Amino acid sequence: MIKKCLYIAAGKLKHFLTDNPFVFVMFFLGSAACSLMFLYFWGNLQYTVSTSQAVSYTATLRSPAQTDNGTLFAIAETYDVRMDAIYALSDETDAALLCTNRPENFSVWGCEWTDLDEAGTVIVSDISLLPDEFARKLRTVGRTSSRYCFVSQNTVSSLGLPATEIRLTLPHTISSAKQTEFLQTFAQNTSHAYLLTETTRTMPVGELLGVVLPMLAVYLLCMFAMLYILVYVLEGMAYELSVYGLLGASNAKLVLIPAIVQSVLLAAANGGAVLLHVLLYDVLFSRINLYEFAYSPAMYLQASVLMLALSFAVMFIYLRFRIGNYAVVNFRRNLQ
Amino acid sequence: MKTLYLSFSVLRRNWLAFLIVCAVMTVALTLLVSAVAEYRHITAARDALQAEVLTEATFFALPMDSEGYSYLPQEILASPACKTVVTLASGGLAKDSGGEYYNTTVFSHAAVQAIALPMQSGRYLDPHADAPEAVISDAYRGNLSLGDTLVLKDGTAVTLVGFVRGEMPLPDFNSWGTDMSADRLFEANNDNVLVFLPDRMIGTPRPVAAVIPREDATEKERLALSEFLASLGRTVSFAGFMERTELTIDAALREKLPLPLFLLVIATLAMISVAALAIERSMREQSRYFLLGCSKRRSMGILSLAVSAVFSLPIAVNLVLLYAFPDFLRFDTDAYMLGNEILLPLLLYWGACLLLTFALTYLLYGKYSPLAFYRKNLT
Repeated sequence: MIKKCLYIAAGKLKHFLTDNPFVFVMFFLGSAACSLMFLYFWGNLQYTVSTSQAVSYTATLRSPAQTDNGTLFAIAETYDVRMDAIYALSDETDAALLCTNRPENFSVWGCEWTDLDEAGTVIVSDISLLPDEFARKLRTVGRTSSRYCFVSQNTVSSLGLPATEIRLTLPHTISSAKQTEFLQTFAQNTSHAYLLTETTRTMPVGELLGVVLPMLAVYLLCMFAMLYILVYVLEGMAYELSVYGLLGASNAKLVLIPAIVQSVLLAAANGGAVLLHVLLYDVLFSRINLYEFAYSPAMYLQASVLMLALSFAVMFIYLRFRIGNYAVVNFRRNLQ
Repeated sequence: MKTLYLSFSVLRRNWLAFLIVCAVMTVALTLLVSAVAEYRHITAARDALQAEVLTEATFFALPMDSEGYSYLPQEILASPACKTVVTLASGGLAKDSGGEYYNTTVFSHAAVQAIALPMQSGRYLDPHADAPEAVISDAYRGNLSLGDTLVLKDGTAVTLVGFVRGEMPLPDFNSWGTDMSADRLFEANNDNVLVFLPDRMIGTPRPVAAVIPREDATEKERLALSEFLASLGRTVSFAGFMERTELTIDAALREKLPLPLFLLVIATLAMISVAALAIERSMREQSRYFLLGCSKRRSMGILSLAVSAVFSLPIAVNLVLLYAFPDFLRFDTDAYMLGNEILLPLLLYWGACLLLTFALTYLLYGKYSPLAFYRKNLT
């Protein structure tokens, strides 16, 4: 019986595509544009969520220990971890040095970060004063509006200071196995002198929904405008379907036949959009993204499943609403 | 009247689809108008800087001092390699003949040459003028008119020679941000009067400046000037400054444009499709009108009128917003420039939509002879 439904649906599909190609070209273009918009939303949202929820730890010095900063930074680099080591200089003031392997996250004036390569140099803070003891030892090469004074690993090593606090931000792509491995390596190399506390920020559900729900609403609104074209498909089949109903076809099958036709059209438009996105990603779509990132196959799959699920849901609700339970009623409605 | 009624009946039969598409198109156009206004704002500051004057310049910003203010050191001008400094200064309050007060910003001779603002009426400041003169943003002209005299706090009389176009952001040079770019040197909705005082500045120069070296300065002198500036604050070459400006513009475009463009493309395609569908659905009805003696032109007119009305509504809503409620298009930002320039693309889009409507009606309908039409739709 399913085979018969498929046969009828295929015949109808062919008929519609040849009978009014203009409307179907418009439908494909419009649905593909909706899918491309959703892919754009989805990709940027996924990236924003994953980066804003990057796993981070704060290591606080709990027992005096002589740790080799160079080794710790080398470990961090191996795992692509951002490491900001803070060296408190005074108990009375909040003066502190900061050494980082991601200098691009900080702004400095009157110098380049490479100016710090020479041991004994410092970029002084405009906000907090360097204690005299250190001001005498270090040569100022630039300024920053940060509350920390910036130094290089060479300078820290020459001063022989232990980091009082280390902030670690792990890449969002890191696996849980690699994460565990990194934390163990870090703990071993610091002789367990630091207390590691996870400080990962998770995006609150409300905040996430505040982004996702409008996104879905915009997509549904746009898709509804395009799905309206499928009314044409149903109207073209309505009389024939009502005759099938009179001849004994079940209500489920009456819904199934137009659903197959419309699903094929939707899936084709969606597939075409994904293909277009993949092919034109480097030349077009990467340039309109808010951030620089690559779409993974999983992202395409998630977006496609979500788009098709939403479209199918709207389509089935409409078909179920349009094709009533009584064959005679359906037939009379379509005779008018 | 009959045509109007019949057109309305075409809309009524497809009201849900038309309503949704109309809503999407209205939102898309509103977002797009707002995005274009923001784009005009961030690019206006870049376009005002005169590249030929500033090519060799180094942009310089002093860090904020402990009290939150800082002023340009006079030693910069004394440097042997320094030709001139493009900067501004506060001129205090100025009073017009009606007793109204205005904030003033004084332009140096170099600033007038390096920054050219688009004028609505009158002319821009003349760097060779012998007498003090002033311009003000047209959006804040109040009761002022060309030729009016303003009196500065020291009694200097200044003649108003022009009105800067609309909401054009005006040079501010008060930002000590760490990421210098053109849009940060200009301030939106600035009600300042820009004053040019030949050969002198009032007040202390602002903490941001473009330092232009002498053409005949040696490499050693230029290097010494660069090092001196770098020792005082943050510096960036004109090329670097413009590169950052382009990055800022690019980031703003990425943030603002994709959504309205996507929506507009979808709404346009949906509108065309729904219009085509509405025309298809009214074929039987139209063929009956044919039988009753309705002309083909009139029949096409009924459909075109219905569809073009739906296309026109979002444009009309946005025109009303643009002129009657411009603040609605701000979307919580002062950094935008509306103005008549936005009208042209809107009207072009509208014209294209109308053209499309008539083409669509003709394509789906007009190509048939009355006889072919009866046979196609009534059999």
